[in-house]
Amino acid sequence: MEQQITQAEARNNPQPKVMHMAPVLRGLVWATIGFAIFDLMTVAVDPFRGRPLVTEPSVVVGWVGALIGWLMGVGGYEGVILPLFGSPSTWVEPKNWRKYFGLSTNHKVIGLQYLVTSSSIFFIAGMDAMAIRYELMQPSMHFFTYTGQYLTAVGVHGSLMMFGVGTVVLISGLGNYFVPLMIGAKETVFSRLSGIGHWLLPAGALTLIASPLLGYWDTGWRGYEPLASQDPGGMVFYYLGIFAMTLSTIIASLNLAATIIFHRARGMTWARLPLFVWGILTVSLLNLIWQPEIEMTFVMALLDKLIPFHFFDALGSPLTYLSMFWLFGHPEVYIIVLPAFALWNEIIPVMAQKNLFARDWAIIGLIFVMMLSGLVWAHHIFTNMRNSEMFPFSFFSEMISIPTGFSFMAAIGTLWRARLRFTTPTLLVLMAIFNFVIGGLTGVYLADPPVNLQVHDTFFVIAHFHYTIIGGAIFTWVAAMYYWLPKLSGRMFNDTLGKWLALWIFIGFNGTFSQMFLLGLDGMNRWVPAYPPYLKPLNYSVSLFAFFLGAGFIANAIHIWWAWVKGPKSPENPWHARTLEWLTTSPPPDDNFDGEVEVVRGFYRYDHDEPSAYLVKNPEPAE
Amino acid sequence: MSQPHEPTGIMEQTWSRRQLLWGGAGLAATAAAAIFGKQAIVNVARDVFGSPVMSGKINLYQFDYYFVPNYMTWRVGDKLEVTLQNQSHTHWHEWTIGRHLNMDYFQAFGEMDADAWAIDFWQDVDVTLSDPYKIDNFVPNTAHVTYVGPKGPYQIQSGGDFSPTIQPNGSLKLTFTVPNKPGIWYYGCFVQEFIHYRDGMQGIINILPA
Repeated sequence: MEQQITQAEARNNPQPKVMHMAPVLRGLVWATIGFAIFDLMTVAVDPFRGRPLVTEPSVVVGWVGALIGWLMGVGGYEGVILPLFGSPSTWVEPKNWRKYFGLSTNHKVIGLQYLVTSSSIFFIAGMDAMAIRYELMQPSMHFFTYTGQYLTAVGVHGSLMMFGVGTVVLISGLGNYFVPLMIGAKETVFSRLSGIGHWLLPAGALTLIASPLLGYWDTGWRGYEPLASQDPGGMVFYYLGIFAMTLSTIIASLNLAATIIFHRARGMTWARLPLFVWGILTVSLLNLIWQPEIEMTFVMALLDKLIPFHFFDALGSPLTYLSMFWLFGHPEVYIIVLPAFALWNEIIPVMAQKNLFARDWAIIGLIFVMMLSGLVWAHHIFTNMRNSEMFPFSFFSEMISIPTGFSFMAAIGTLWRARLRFTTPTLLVLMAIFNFVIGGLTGVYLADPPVNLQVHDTFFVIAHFHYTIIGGAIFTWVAAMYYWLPKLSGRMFNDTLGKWLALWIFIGFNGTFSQMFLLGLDGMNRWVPAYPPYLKPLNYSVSLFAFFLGAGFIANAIHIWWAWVKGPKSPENPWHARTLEWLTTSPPPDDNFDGEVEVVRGFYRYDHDEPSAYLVKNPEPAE
Repeated sequence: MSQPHEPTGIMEQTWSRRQLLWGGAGLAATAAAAIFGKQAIVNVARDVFGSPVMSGKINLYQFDYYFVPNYMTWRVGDKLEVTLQNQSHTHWHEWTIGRHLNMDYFQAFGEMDADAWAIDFWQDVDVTLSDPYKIDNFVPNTAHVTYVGPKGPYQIQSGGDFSPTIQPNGSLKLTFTVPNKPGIWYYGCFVQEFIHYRDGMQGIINILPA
């Protein structure tokens, strides 16, 4: 017997629904409405005496409402919610520049959204750093009125840089854009989720920026207890803002790891996987392990504050918070720097046109850094430990320098007797390697308890981690932006200008942070807006270099922007690289490759002229 | 045969670049004004809408770290009964009223609040304290205080402004006639070396002439 199946009509609505408001603006309006509804509902069921309209519990629930409103407003309503309830919804992504201002499922659009959002966060947090350095030009307070304001500025700077820039640019930004291209994929696995994930990032950053509205918080990016439980309401926005930003990172990592595992082109075996893809895979696993851990810690700390529970105060255990923070916190620095290690060994063989030295060991290094990074956390809290407890953490902290060294070994081995093309990306990678040597060696010193206990919480530590994060990761980000600019835009930058600008930030950076080592050894403490007058000359000089560095980053951004829009046309494969992203046009088409990719050999051998991969073009459509 | 669903959602976007730029700039300006000019906005709103005169029974609540209300309008000669209640679960809070914070030069932090108000509002004011519950300490300073019931719970001490300090969840009733001291007065909680005050435990009393 024949059965008739009823189907919905094709989507041929004669009057298409038109969106007259930019999705980002609609998101902000809906977020405001969402906040008002959820906040007032909470105040209605949980009124405080005197009926204030905004209380700590209400602001948390209101924030959830705002987040829902924001995500729905940027396109989640039509893209996710309506389909979830069975409605034949359409969210047609615009084909023009408008696509960057709403929900997208295209990994290249999402990658660029991440890069722009993250660069904006870098700018804001950088201006914050300038304010900090301006304050520290004098021994007593002259710029900020209260110490709380200064400490909030420090906390917002650190949190935004770590969760909005360091964890984001190389992974969610360049990773989203280039990983699918480099493995020959046409799309990512969870593309819609990934699109939503990006919009959590500005939501989190704006939450942190707005935190002074609820009162100045003192804890810096670490949120140490029991201080956090004593702090004004701004602390609440610290937890919530970072929650949104880390959730964005978890989504990006989940999507990229799944894409690397399931969407590789034919012939893209694990043994042929590009270095940068290995970097993103290891770092995604780190993110999937540790970001949920810090989110749960922050949820506990938030409840500690609101209810209050007594997890982390004197009735509970403040030291437990410290350990739970650094259990995430130390892997976090490797999350930031692992993709940078991978990028060095991506860029150097191309620029040298020479086989990558010890490729396997470069990858093993990445994997062992990933694994050891969870075993070193307590070196941040040696001041709270017995000698016997310090030993294993000191041991593993020093051991992690060995797999780190593998990345250096591969890079230096490749550079050995190479006829290196001295381009802007080359120069920046070499600078990053130089900077990270200093950051890494001082890290080995810091892992030794005698040194650690002496310089704990001084500017020596500040200098050390800025050398790894700015010197290692941010310099590599700039290098990668120059390296991939021809791919991103189809245009070329001015190489001479690029080298001068690289030199600019190199001098600014080393001038700023090398002196901070001395400041720390001279007794300059972290977390203080005022200091003994004998430290003024050195602080003054550090600040001048810091302003120079800040201007240098802006100059590089302007140069990259100019080249992106107005630069001369670039050849298809200007660096003669072998990885797959160069197999397609620049910028790549919507579905990445005009055909099927087949990989036939690895990408890092330059001792032959055979291609690494073939692009079997789609047949021309019949006329 | 069921009716076909009408497609929902967005098929096309037509918004302009101008809308995006102006809308974004407007929202950014609003946010900046909210973060950096919060107090100025509140002051303008009060000037425009006014603030009703409070009389009779007034509840004044202390939270971490703010007062509700943080602005009051009184009138000279009115009889007031202020019930001060500390709503914090964890923190001790006090209530001082005065003018001109004493400032001191402190090497580390420049000009800093030194030791409370130069002028204490409660000087020579007749005030009756009653229903003390979880009072930590009380400094009468130069006020003329009448205690209802035993003095034991007050832990009376000297030094500093007139300041009842209340434990978490404690409360105290202050009954007095608004003295002839019209103008703007400030109140705050100076506990923990003024940090509560700096973190936002501040308020303003506008006393109108009789």
